[in-house]
Amino acid sequence: MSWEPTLAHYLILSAAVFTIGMVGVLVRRNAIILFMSIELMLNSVNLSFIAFARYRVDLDGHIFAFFIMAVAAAEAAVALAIVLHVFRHKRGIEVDEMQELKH
Amino acid sequence: MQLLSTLTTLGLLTPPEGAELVALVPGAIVTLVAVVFILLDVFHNKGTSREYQAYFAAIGLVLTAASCWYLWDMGLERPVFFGMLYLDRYSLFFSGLACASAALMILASPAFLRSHQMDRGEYYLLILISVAGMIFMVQAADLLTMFIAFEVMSIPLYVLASFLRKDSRSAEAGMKYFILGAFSAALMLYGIALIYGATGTTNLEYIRENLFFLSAAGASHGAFGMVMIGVLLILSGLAFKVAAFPFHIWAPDVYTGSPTPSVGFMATAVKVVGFATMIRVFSVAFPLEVLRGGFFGWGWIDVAFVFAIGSMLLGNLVAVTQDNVKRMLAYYGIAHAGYLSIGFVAANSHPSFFLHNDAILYSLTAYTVALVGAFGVLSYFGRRGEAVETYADLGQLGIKYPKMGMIMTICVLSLAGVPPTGGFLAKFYIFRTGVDVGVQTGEMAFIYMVIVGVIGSVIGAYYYLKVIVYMYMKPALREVRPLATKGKLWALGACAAATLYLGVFPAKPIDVCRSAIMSMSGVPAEVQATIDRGQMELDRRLQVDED
Repeated sequence: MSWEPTLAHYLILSAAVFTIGMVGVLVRRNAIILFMSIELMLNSVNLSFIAFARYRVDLDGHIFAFFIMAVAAAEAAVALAIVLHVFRHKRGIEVDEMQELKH
Repeated sequence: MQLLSTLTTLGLLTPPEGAELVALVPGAIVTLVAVVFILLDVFHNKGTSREYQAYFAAIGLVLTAASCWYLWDMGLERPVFFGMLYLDRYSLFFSGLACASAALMILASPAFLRSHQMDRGEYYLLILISVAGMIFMVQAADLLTMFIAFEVMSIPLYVLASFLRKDSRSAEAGMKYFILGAFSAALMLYGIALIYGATGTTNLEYIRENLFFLSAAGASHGAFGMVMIGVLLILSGLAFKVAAFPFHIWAPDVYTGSPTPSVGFMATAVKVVGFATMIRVFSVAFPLEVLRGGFFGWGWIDVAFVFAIGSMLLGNLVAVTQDNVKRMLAYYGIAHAGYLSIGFVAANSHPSFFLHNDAILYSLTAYTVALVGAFGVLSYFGRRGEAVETYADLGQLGIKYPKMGMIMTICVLSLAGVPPTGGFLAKFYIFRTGVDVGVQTGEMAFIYMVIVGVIGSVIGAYYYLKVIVYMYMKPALREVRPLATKGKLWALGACAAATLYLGVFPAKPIDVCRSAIMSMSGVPAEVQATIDRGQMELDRRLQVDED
């Protein structure tokens, strides 16, 4: 019996990955893991764009996915630089130790 | 060559017409200035002052603003580049405002950076690139352009927030801004994906048409649920940028940790552009008559209503408890996002109130000049590499430096909403919009919103007058030195003068705001009818004046 994934399957997968990423940002404490979770969210968006684009036989979604990849790369560059900057000062990248600005 | 001509005949590579290229002019100028700036920085003599770079960047921004003024009457009816960018007075107005805020803050920067031993050319470059993103964001006619411009605007800001490399608080600010900013951008993207899925397009006007089509065809609840979730996700992404409740958590920490002059830019230009995009996207793409009732019977307007009330209450109440002026200004920024949301909710609750959006434009202008002035004065003083930021630090400054005291007093009074300044009129205008719409629709919610706003601004007077009290009546605790440059004095003077001008001669600025809002292209037919009625009334009034 052959089985073809439908649009709904892709959307459910994408929503699941997005939720995993979101929960990761909210729950984890390591800056690199947070950043990974954000990448997960962006890539799940890519997945739904591609799924919709295939479903609708339309190119816009594919193009959008490329732009998201480019933006994610730019964000990665800045994010890692900021993580290094934080590490130099605090010798650690746990976000719950960043309490200096709270009064 | 063969390939090129084949593509051209197939219509795949039509050269853009001259008229279309006009839409790129403001963004192209600021990008060009940024590129030339990189070269300028390469040939810099090490060890010499970089003040000239600030003047170069500021002149570039003034040129950009001048191009906006020059293009004022050359707006285009249709979006260009296959429906990607608008060029109308609306976008030119906001581009000009963003340029003004950036130029003033750049002029306030050099001495501050030198005292923190971070006199680097990259600082100005990042601001220029961010402004380029802002200009394209207010011109966006497609969610794709909006998203890219959104990121071009935001990524330099993350770097600016963590710019003071020797300061661990700045590192922390950059980290917090980045994590939360990227998170909200991802939320917004998911929203865009859902809307693309439901309507099959990312173009604002086509989204609207397809939504009408879907509702006429009796689309399933699923499709509309998708659209509603998408709309709310986009709203939260933009609410994050303007620091509206409940997406405000980053603001106080980021504003406190970042270099003071760049906070002035972040707090004003980003808010201006965020609200401009919000009005454009929501009034063009998401018509309430289709979307209300898709999801619990709540349209996005009710969510924006909650944002408005929450921001005003939380911002004003928490600002009272702060002893750091930068943090207080951050909470005021949250409260101000609430005031602006009153205007947003009231003016966009029905197409016939669309022209009331001019209150938001006016309020953003008054807020920008006053807040830039306040942050400029804060960055005017320093203490061996430390910034002046608490109330206690301000002791006696108004008496020792009468000019700065004067400018700070004017700006702070404007932010508090005291009469002869722009801020008073801005608040009055916003509240009147809420009352007007409330009376005309008989909906008490608008009136309640205004009542909360008025109570909030009474509370606001307390923490703003406290600034003046400290500047003139409290003893100086520690010695501070002025970080003065000529450009900074001029920039701060211009802020104070503009604040007074907006309050004393408001007729002209209000006309400019009104003509900006009337020119918005791509709006639905009902909104266009409202605009035409407004135009006719305006013409009649001018006719009467002439007679």
